[in-house]
Amino acid sequence: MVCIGDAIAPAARVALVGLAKNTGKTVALGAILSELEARGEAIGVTSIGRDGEASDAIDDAISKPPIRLPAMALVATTEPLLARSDARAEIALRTEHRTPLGRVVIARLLERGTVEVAGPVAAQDVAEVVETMRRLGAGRVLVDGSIDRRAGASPRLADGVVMSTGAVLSADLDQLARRTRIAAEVMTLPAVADPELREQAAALRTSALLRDGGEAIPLDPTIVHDRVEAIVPLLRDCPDVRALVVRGALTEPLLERVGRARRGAPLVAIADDATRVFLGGGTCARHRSRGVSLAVLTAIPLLAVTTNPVAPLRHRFDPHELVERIAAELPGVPVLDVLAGEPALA
Amino acid sequence: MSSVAQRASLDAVRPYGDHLDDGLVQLSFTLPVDHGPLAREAALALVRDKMGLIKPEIVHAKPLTPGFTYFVLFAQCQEAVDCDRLAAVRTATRAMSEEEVDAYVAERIGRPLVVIGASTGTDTHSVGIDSILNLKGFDGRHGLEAYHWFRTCNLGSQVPNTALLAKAFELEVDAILVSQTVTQQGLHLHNLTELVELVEAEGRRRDVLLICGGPRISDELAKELGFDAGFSKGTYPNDVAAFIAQEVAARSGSAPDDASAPEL
Repeated sequence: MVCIGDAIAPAARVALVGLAKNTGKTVALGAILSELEARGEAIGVTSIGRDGEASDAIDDAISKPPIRLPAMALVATTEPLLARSDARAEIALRTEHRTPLGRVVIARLLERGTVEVAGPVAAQDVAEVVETMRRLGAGRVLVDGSIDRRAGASPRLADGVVMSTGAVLSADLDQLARRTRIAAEVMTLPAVADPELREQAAALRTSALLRDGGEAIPLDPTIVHDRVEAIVPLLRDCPDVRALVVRGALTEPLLERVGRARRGAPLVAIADDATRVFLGGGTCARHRSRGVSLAVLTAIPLLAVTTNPVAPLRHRFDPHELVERIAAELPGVPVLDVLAGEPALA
Repeated sequence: MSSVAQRASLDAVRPYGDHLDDGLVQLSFTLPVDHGPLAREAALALVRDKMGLIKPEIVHAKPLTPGFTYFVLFAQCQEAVDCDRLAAVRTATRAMSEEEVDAYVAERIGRPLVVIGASTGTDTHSVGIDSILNLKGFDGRHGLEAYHWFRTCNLGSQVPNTALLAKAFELEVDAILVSQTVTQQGLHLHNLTELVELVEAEGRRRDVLLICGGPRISDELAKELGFDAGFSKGTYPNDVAAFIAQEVAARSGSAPDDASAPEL
């Protein structure tokens, strides 16, 4: 049997990512915290959004679980939010990071209690807070995500990710399973297999097309973002292009044009990491079927997937059935319902 | 008896009717019951027994159509809120008029601030972004386009996030304004988070202020989404301009600030 504490054991910095609002991310965080507390680990918690608030910022009919931290845990929050905590805490460090809810501080709880987590707004700043917490003695730092945001899973911030999925995604179990599989596929995009290609891609400073001999054709940033159709003549002129390397966001409209231009000829589309890939309604499988395979410079380990069988104020699934179904879609990944205590074997 | 002059703290705030702390509230609602004694008793029972207010008094009752009655009631609320325990929201931003913002930017920043705005995704509502950005503004206050020290670009409605970003990077903007009508189940949130994620993916999140606005948007939601501020109803163009100006100044280190603590 796998418990969530075992699943995250290899990663010192763990990101929690939800596939939507109300997929049970906070509950997953709570389960991880209580297991780490039982193991006596020194914990730090920061967030890319805000978590632990009593009621939902969109629908206040949805009440949310509090985040309970052990004594001596480090937490990133803001002073007004810390004032509302029920635990005594000392401010270990005031940061320069500004948020709509005040300036971020790193606090150390002097006793067990609940607190709202609110780290910096920008991922780069979150990375700084993570490093600071490690310096202040946190053996393990948890980076709580927000809504459907993935930026916290960036390898700059985290060594592995726990993904939360839930009934809120769809009232249809097949749809829910499919959307979870597609999201997991993007999150676990493989590192570029060919070491030579990897080296060439990593050395590029801007987005570019890589030809067979290693020659790079730089791409204007506007092609990558907006004038995506301009890539079609470029690819038609150079049939020996083997890879598209994007420094920044790799989006569905661009991949769509690439697939069309190549007419089935194989090409690898490379992004820095999975948080830079935006497939919208598309899937990796569809691009693969057109010859375009996706890869990243740095892969992100998917440590576990948690399931929430309840869509608040709407429908619910049988917890055991949901775990089984998601586990069947994701071979090799531990799937758990941390409330029902239902782990599926990896 | 307490008076306004005696008021010392915000730790127990109640509705104000005729005098401080009387807790007086006014309610209006329609019940699907024929006008008459039963409807009146139902209205009083709802307010007194279910809503938790005391001393309800019907001051107006009017039949709408057969089967429906409209009421206006007064009642007293015994509860109070402790404002000291609410999250301070944008306390750092000082309110400024159009002229004050222009003078502040001229003095502290010394170059025009560039702002781009749009209603993104499938959202066709452009009235919010127009009232903040366009010359005309609203309620007699100019939009940012009229400010001497602002350069603006309004892309209108139904703009894809990628198109908005491409233009934003081209113009090297200081702030991106997104207007979005968020629904109860949060169905439109994805558009807002995707914009943040795209900016993050480009490694540009620190270079630009992200501001969202709309009827259901708050600073709490903005924080959750990863934005720098969230503006809702009752926001005037000068509020947004003051925020952008002060935030840009603070981030470039040219504004006096409350920072006396050690840096990260």
